[in-house]
Amino acid sequence: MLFEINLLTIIVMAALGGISTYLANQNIAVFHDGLRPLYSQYFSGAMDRRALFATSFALSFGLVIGFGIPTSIAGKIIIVHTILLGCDILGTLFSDSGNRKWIATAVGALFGILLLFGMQAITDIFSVLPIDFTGNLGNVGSLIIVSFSVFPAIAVGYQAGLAKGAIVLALTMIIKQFTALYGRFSFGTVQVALNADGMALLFGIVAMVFVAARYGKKSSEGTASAFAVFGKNIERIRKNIVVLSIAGGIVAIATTLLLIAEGPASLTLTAEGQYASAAMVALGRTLGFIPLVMTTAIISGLYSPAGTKAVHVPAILLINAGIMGLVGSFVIGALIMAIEILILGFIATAMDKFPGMKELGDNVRTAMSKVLDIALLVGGMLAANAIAPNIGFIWIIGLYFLNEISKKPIATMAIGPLGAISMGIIVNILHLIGLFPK
Amino acid sequence: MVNIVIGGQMDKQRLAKLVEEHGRGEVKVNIKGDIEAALDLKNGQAHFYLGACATGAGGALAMAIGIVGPESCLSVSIPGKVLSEDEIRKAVQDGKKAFGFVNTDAGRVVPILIDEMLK
Repeated sequence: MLFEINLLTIIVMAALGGISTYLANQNIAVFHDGLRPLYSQYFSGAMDRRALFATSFALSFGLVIGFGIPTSIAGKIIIVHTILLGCDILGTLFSDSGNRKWIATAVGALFGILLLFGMQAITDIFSVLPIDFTGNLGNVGSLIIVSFSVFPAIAVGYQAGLAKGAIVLALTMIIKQFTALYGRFSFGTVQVALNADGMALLFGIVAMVFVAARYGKKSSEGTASAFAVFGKNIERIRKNIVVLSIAGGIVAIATTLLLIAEGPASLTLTAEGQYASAAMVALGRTLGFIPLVMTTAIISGLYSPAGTKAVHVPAILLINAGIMGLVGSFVIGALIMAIEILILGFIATAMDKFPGMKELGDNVRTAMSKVLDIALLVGGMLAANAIAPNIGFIWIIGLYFLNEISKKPIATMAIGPLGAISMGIIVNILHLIGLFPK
Repeated sequence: MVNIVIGGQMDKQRLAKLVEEHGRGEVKVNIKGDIEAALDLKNGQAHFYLGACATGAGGALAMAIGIVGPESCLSVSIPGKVLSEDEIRKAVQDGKKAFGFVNTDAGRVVPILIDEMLK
């Protein structure tokens, strides 16, 4: 793993696990966007704590095991879902009345620490196996780095049609190629090299926002009037602004310490040290999540411990900025969270005025997940093939299609990481029985 | 004619296409924002609501749960679990109106849902 295990990181992971579990236990914030809407039933008494826990477990457990852990191991940074979905489960497990909240908080803190040591332990075990495949796991994310700048073109295509999408795709390619060829300058003795993927991504995101702001079907019904009945939910979230801001700060500082990353793409870019690109990707994802997180918050009265994910953006840029970077990351993260909560009420009306931006959110998330599905699948094939040149490709292709017919399918974007890791374990078993010489 | 509205939140164009492919010309599909789509279902302008997202429960169904009510809504697939054909058919028969699923499972669940909706 890329993080260090020291007193500071142990404290931060404990704090992250503790506060997120506390927030879930006290019904203040949960990370799973699909869990939030169910709280109206819980608050009205139609659903009891046990049913709430069962739902939370059902929604999140598969994601933690099938997506969070393999993606984290392959990427060397813990993907935030692993810890925060776990905290959703733990928080809803305990009763929200009386002193149980402190037990929940303690268990959550312990979970955070366990995850820190557990992830490192798994990586350590893998690296002492007879056939060391950990070096090849990096291939899983290799395509994300060179291909992720394509996602805005796809999002534009979804929103404004084939022609506009094709134009943005062509321009993205030209900009990437041009920057790769001519993106090196020297001012006297100072060498400046522009990152071709970063420049292409920057262009794509600007183009995408530009298209969305201009484009926008008239919304037929008023979001604002539909949301008027949820006014007291916004009040409820605002009452908890202090503890939520602290949570935002802790999420940010954990990101800066390379403990967690907000998504598979920014995780890979961060692991490769491409912080500017990682921050841009995180910003793009924030655009995608603003409508989702905020609308689910308004209808439920619960927020997310990581907010709209905007807290990750400055946090990524402050990696390696020393102690002031850490302090700054916490303060900016907390501030962003506070601002998000304060503008919640305006969002409903804003979405009425700019329906294109709401639609952009949907399209961004679709485009990103499509690109990730393919990039991680092919990356997983490359990694598995590097680990086991004879059987790597067929293992991943086989897994992909068998997963499609499974009654318990894992997320498509987890096939690559999970397939590559399992390939590594398989070759070690084959080695034991003499079928895979060193 | 059965009116089906596509609401939340990912892969909407693909969902609409799937619905039309399996609708035997007896369905009318509308793609809308999730809030508008949920309002359509509530106001009776749409008979059914479909939505997909990465989790089958969040973006896919959240607004329908909030605006129409959880008793009308069901996630027919989430990561790690897809309901069986019988369970999906029974849900439609039991009067569920809004369905969410993981976008990559759309090809598996939409044909069953539409077939049962048209019965």
